[in-house]
Amino acid sequence: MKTNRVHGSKMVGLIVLIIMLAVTACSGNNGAPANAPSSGNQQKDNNGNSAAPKKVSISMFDRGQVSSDEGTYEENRWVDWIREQSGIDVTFAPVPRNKAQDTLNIMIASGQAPDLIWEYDRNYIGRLVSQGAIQPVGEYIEKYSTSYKKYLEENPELVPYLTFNGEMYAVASKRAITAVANHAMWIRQDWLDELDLKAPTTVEELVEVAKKFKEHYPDSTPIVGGNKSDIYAALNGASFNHWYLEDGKMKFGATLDRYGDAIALEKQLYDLGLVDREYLTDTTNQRSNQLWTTGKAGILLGQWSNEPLNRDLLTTVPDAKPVPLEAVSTKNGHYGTYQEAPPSFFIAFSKDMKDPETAVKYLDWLMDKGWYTLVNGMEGTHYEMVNGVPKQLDGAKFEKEVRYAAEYAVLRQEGVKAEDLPLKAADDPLSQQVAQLSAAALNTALLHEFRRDIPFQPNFDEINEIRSTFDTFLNEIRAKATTQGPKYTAEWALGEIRKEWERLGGAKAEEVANAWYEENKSTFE
Amino acid sequence: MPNAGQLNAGTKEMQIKRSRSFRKELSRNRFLYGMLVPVIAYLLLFKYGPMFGEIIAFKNYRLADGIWGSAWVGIDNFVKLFSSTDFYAVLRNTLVLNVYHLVFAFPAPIILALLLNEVRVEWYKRTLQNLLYIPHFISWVALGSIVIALLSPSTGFLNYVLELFGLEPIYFLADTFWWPVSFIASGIWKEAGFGTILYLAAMASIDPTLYEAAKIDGARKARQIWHVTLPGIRSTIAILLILQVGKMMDVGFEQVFVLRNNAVSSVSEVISTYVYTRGIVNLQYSYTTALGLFQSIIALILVIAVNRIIKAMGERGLW
Repeated sequence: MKTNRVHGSKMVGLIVLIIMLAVTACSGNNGAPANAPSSGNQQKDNNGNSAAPKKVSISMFDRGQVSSDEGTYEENRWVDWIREQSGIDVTFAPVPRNKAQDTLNIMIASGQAPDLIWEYDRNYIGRLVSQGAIQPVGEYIEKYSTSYKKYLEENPELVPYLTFNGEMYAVASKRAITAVANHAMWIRQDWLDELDLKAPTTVEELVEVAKKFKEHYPDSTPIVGGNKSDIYAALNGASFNHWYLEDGKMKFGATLDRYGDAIALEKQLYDLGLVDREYLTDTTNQRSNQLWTTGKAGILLGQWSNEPLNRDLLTTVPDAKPVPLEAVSTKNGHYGTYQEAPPSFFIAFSKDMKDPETAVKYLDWLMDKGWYTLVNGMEGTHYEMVNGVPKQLDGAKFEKEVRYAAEYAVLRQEGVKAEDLPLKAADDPLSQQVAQLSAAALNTALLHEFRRDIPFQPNFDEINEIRSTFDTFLNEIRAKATTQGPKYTAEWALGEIRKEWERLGGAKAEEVANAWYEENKSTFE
Repeated sequence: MPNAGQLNAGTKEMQIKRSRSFRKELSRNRFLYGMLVPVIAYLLLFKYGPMFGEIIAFKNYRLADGIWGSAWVGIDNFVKLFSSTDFYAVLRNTLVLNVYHLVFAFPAPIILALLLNEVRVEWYKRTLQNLLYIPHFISWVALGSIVIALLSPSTGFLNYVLELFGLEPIYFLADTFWWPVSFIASGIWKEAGFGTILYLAAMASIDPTLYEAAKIDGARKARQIWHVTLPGIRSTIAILLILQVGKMMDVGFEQVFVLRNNAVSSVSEVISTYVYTRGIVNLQYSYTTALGLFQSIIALILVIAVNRIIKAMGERGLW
């Protein structure tokens, strides 16, 4: 009996232990961000000073670029380097790139948000402002900052982008032109030469060239690329999610006649069999990339920065000559493909931030000198200075050891030019060839301006509300008009889109947008 | 008055007795109760605790104000929900997919289990079972790309077969008629094999003498299945049916998320994906919690109703 009881209490102990383990395991999962709020009770050293380094945490996009022998996004050579050089104990909270906003939302809602939260999307920061999840930063910059304050004084054009409801809620630096240019078109010069064709300059010629490609190479898919729909729309000067000024009034892109023309173009190319018929299910662009890199596609509607794909193409098809294709004109004008607005990473301060002074100091350090090494690597190991430009010593080594570090540099003073790209690239012929192409593509992409009637989009609940239903509808109508044959025309699609816009209260949204425009237009100049 | 006092004393005595006997019971079976503790802790922590958060369905939840601090708005979120056309569309899609599931996917493991049960070569049966279980252990993310590739109109196997018969290729996943079909079929592919386990276990417990008696009476295989096997697993089917109806308002998020695309959003937007885009991505937490609450209440009503019906039919229900 007695032994039994002893046994029993051991058993209970074991169970308690299991529960405790389970509970601690759960809280352990929170990882880095959970550590942040505890910074208040860090140990003091023997002298009683709080000599332990100051702490700050910041979000990070996990793009899966850190190879396993480099470590993780939380712990690797660059994180160590940042802590050592800045003297601040920085922790990083990675969020998956393609689920960044929802993961951040969950972290914020569960009180695990990092001190600094960043996104490229200004509208997202706007949503956080209306949710009260972040706090104004103007005062902190004024009080604690030196470098960024100076930078902002030199670049006052950034201020309107950072201002929400009259207060500054984020910090950002300006994009280098490499980051301003984004979407771009590529064409196979060797295919053009073979058929004795000239590069198309109008959209009609583009269709003709694609047709000729299809006739001459029946197995090919003339036009591929994940940015097709966006590029059709941009060429017509009507991105679906942008507001445009029509006769001085704000109108939503998707409701414009010009957007109808973009749908018509998409449908025409589909009906003629000039695009992959399955691009609707090719959401990861896997098929499209495969067609381009195996030399089975003639025109790529993608991005100017196309190094991995071009590298693969030139390796599998050494005779291929991919060249950048200038934006073609449409009956609506001659506009460029998508380009970014000047501000880069929008960095916001969480409302629960413990130590804004340290956060500002960290940002200042990045702005001053941190960014340069994070973008270029270590001098002597990854690059050497040639004519004032950091030149990569070894392309493959750079890709593996430095490429992922750039996103730690959320504030930069980067003045890179197109001519610098070949200078920065490694010396082997393939790297040089690819870099030359990128330089040409960058210049080509910037030849025509992306149509942007207002610098940034109005951000109101009325508009967001409509769009959460409208965007899904729009995508489906466009897919239907494109793929379902002659019954469904672009005019029909535009009619449906306008009806839906009206039904959801588009008139009210236009009113709100107009009022916002009238109020703010003086700051847009 | 004294009567009442006596009564009180009486119940008190009984209470003491009862608590004493409970304590006795507890000390007698302390291991069994001890083993129950983690499960109860789990349920309280992860199933009952979060229910407190449901109150944000009646509030206008802002991240900054938190669950308590946000302003009460009464039933505003429900009014908004029931007056939105989105709601009826996602409700319809959810119900349609679940009715298809009930009609086609629910009987699939039963039929499969009946077939397996008749396989007499042991090694063949085991191999077959293992092969059938495999898809269950692969995540939808991986299976989704296999399904997309399999159904591709240009390079997919299925369309290749169709072409052999001189038929036009079909773009299954971009067609509003074929998408639900593909959805249910891929669901059967993944789960039917694993679903046989419970039925096979139930069949194993059927008294073999019943089969012998049936044989003596001259019943062939089909008759044996109809009169012995199926009645033998009736109660298992009933329980699983109740559980399935409990999921009537729910379509697994992952499968829809990987298989859907722009062309079919009118049939593929279901409650779970809608909650994801509106709630988690667009931060309309209160609105989507209201939807979630509505979903749970309907599911509860359905479970209770089906449980009643099944009990009326003479089976043991869930409770």
